[in-house]
Amino acid sequence: MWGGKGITLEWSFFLARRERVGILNDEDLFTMAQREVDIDPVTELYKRDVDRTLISQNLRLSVQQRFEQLMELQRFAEELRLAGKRGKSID
Amino acid sequence: MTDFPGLLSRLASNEVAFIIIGGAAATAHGSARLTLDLDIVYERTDANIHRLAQALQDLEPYMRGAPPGLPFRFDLATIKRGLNFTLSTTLGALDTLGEVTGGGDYQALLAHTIELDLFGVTCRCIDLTTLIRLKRAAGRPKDLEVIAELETIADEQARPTDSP
Repeated sequence: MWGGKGITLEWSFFLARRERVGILNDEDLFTMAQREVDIDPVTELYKRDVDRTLISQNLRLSVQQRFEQLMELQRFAEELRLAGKRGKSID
Repeated sequence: MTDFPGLLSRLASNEVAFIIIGGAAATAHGSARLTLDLDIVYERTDANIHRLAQALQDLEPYMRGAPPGLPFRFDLATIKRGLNFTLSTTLGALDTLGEVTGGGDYQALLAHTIELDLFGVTCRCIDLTTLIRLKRAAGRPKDLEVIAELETIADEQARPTDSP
C-alpha cells in the first residue's frame, strides 16, 4: 500500500497505522515524499547508535592495521568465550 | 580464529582471482565490528577454480558445520558442481562465493573494487558503496546495524578533513 522507493516495510506499517486512526495528514504525506529518495528511515534510526568515535579512530589506521586490530579482537573474543565456559557463579 | 594474512597470502601466491566482500571488506573500510571469517567472490573460470582448489588443498578445507567424516573434496569437480561454499580450513573460516545477491559474479563486481596492499599481498576488495548495496540486497535483519555503520563510515569519509 505504501510501497515505493525508500519506503521500508516498517515505515509502511507506521504510516498505515496513522491512516487507520485518522491522523495521517498532508504534512505526513509531504514528509514521506521528501524521504522517498535514498533515505531509509530504519537505517537512519540504527545510525543513531553507531559509535562515530570508533569509526573516526579506525579511519586513521591503515588497512593492514585494521585487520591486525580485528585479529586482536578475535583473540580477545575467544579468550572471553573460554573464560565464560570456565566461569563459576559467585553464589 | 581466522588467519587473514595466511589465507590472503595463500590465495595470492596461487594467483587466485578473488574479491574480498562481507565482514572483512567492512573491516578494510573501517568497520569496528567483529567478523570471524573471510568472504571472497572467486572467478568461475576453469583455470581459476583449479587455482582456488590448489591454493586450499593442504589446508584441509571442509564444509563448515557438516558432520565430520563425510567424503568431501574441495576440488575442481566439486567447485564446478556447486557455487558457494562455507568452509573451515586450518587457517580459519573461509566463504568462497561464485555469486552474491544483488551483485552478481566476479566479473560483474570487478569494476566496483579497490586494490588493497596488506601483509605483503595485493588483492581486490569490494568498494564501500557496493558493499552497502550488497548488504541491502541480502535483506537480513542482522545486517541493519552493519548497513548503518557502513553508511556512517561513508559519511565520515565524505566529511571535509578540517571539520570537527
